[in-house]
Amino acid sequence: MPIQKEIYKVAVQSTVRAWRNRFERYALTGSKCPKCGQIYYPKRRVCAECHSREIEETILARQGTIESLAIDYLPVMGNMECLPIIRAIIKLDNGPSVFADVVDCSEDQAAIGMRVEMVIRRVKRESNGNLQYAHKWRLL
Amino acid sequence: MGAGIVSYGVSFPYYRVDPREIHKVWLRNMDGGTIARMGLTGRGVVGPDEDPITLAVDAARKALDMAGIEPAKVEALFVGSQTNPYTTKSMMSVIGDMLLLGPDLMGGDCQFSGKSGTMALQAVWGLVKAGIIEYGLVIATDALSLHVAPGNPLEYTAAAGAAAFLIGRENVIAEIGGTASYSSDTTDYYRLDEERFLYWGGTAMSATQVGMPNHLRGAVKQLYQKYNLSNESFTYAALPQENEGAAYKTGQILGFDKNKIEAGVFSGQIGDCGSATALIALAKILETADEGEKILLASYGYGAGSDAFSITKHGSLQKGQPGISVSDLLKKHSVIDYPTALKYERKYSGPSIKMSTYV
Repeated sequence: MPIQKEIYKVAVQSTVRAWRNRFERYALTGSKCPKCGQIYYPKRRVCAECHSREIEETILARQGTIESLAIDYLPVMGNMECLPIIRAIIKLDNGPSVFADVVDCSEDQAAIGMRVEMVIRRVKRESNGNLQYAHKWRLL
Repeated sequence: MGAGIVSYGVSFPYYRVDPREIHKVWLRNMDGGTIARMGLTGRGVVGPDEDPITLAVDAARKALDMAGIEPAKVEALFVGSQTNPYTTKSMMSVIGDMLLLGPDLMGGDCQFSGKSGTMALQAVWGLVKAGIIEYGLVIATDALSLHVAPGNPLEYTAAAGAAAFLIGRENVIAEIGGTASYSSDTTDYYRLDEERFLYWGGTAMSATQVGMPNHLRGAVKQLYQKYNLSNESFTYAALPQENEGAAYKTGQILGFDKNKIEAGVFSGQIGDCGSATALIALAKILETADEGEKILLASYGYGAGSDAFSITKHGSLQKGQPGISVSDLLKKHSVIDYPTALKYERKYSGPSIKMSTYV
């Protein structure tokens, strides 16, 4: 692919950090507190409600409902091919909300209250040039 | 019951472009009438954030949901593709982590051009049949449109798609009876490591019988001799197809009538999905085949080689699985124009310097 030689190196994520949290982007792994039942995304080490440290890993639902929506016509550099981008806050079926893009539809097709499902898409290149993938959401 | 297909999933890119728009720009080799004779109504376009890995995960997710098994039970993953985004690094490790198949995973990437997917199927079927593993996943994925140069006549048909099959010994919906292959060093199309676009080996290689007709017939003949079969044993044939016309022509090469090919024809709406084509045709046939009916699966890869399989349908697909049929999935698309398609497929070279705060 034609690489824009210097542009991708500005405002990129560290490869090591991305590698450590890759399952959160790939499979929506979050945290669940066995004591009070609170579910978190992204992962935490201490429960914010009951302060228990026995927090466990859990896999979140791959379907949800759009809670809030905004159309982005002027994104941070890169992503110029995807214009306009539909940014949304999506309430997952089992608890927390995630902030992500809605894809495969035009800006007048997406609306609050619609059901969406998770898909994996390529988002950027990391600091060492590696390809990064993350979750985006598609109308059901 | 022998080893066979437990479930499957298919994925296509969302966008399509009309080949007639491409023709208006390049006027290559064919008039508008030829495009109509090819039976090509649309050609799949890879989205700006899609690539073979994203298509593969989508298809595999559908296959795992249809089977209803825990992902950690899958012990092998073989990914067939001729358009791997990485030249050194496997897609299989990335896809394995995305599907939470677990770190104890056998497999890797298979590459033999258009027969990469069936090569992966041979490997996984062998492992399951021999009892080495219980479940294995085969994914065939390609984004050919990213690697075909603008102006190349292949641009009318080169598209993208993925198909995933879960292979096991229990709850099998289609048993794989046998397989045979045929290959030789015949360079009809190729792409070197440092090149982005597919190259052509010349008319002598690609327009004569030495390529697809020779190898396809060779593999099918090997299969028939090994397992004592003939054209009459099969009710359906899942064959490589760049467009609808080509699907029936390939059938004629093997001596199959139109009615045996029809059920597996889908490329008129989307184009050539590379190594996923033959497997998507198989998925489409599985939705209509009845108990006991035999399906011939054959694929062709440039370079050149061909695989053939004999598959027997068992059991019926229950209502609700798979979630959506191949025909219905093809209907979910959006048509874009040719300049947008080129932008999405990264064929415009972007600015190499930072132009402003936002660009």
